[in-house]
Amino acid sequence: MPFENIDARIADPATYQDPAACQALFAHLRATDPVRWTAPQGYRPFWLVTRHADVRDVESRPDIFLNGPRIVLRPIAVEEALAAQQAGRKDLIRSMNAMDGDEHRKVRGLTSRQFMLPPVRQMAPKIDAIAREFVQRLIDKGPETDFFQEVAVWYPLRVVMLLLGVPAADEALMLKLTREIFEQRPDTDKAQQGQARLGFFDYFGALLADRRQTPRDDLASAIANATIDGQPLPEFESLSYCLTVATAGHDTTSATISGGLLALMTHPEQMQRLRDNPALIDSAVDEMIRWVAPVKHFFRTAAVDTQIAGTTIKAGDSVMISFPSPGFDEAVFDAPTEFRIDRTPNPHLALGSGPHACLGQHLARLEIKQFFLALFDRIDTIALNGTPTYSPSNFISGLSSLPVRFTVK
Amino acid sequence: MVTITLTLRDGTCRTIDAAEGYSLMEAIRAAGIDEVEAACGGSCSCATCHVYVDAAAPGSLPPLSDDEDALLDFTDTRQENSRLSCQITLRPEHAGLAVTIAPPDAG
Repeated sequence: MPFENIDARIADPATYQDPAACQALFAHLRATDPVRWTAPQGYRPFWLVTRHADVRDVESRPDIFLNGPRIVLRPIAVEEALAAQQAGRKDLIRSMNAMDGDEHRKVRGLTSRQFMLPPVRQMAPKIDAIAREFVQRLIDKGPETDFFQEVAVWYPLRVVMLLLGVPAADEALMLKLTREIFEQRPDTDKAQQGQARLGFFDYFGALLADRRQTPRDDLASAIANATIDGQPLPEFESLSYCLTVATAGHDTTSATISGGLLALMTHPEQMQRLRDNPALIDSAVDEMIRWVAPVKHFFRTAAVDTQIAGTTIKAGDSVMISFPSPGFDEAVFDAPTEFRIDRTPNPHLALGSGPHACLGQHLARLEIKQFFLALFDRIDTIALNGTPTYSPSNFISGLSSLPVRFTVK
Repeated sequence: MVTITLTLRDGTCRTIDAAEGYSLMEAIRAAGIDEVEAACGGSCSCATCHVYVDAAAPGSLPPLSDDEDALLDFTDTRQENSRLSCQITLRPEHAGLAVTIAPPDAG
């Protein structure tokens, strides 16, 4: 039977290492149990929502479906270890992901201006220059390399660290800590995430102190000197803010660029079409985001008794909203299992929707766009050169290696 | 439900019954009208759900936030009565709200 142990599979980090099998499971759930009471052993149970209309409905009622207090799926043992370390708090940090209403709006508003579509559009020349630098790095590694480890990891990292104000010399440390925060390997020490958090906080504590002394034109300075209703943002929230920008700002984009390239290499007619028609790049970028959907879920908590698609949800119940599943919903997408770079419209929900939709979404789209334009300017052919591997995680998962062989123009 | 009047880009008038607790942007989409792109998904980050408020009960609209104000300033179609429809959460007091969908921004 292909769909046994569904609850355990939803929680198992290894499930997300096989995207096609994962989508088959979601297709089964959309068809048979779209609002599923899910109770994997070792986890607090939750409702799993997989249909496009229902995920969108939950995200569109932020007063009913709160972001706090449960953010992501963690084993009870990890939640308890975290709570023991930090006076009852079950989460590592306190960031805008866990905030609601006015507080969320004000805290997000501290940096939201830089991430709006019009100012991000003006960053195109700057991002293009960085993209070209990393395409050169690829060429220098040729003719065979691991595209993910050598290029895809480093390019979005450079972009977000420049914005945040972290010097290039510290990028490797940021990458190491990000991996420790997100990794869910079977042998992962329960304390690893807490230790990585401390590593980030030590680093950002010094960075924020520096920016209070000598503010610059970067996000660290905006966060360091932020006030909410006339009061300085508390230090724990400031450190959490830096950690959120630092981690959320690159891992997902690296996953989408490498997953997008893999899709193009396994659909060579689509790659050729894009090369022949660079004007298709904007729709191609959103198709890559739909296809890869590196964020696998977030949680909401019902504030009152309510319903999702006719299913009664009790106040206090946890709701897991799937991010990959809505993009493959047959009710919304024509032939969703086909990768089509000209798919328009493409209302995937991989970046979220509603007030908590991805803060960096316009920047992420720009980074992906400029990278592929720069890549096709310099590369003549590029093909898969081995078996790609994926990272195990039920939260943020994508490629962990992508062997390629290429020729330069 | 809240009854709202919409003027589409071709001048057609539509009256829709929208569910409370959702944003005006979501209500317009739910009515099957695809003239508001809402590229950012309703997070006050893009100005592609721009509408002109033709009529509203006094005091019923939420105040303009700094972000909404900044985004409207980026458009070349801003008017006195401009709002982003993702920033208006529909409540019973919005009965009779009338809006016109703004032209797409040249951006």
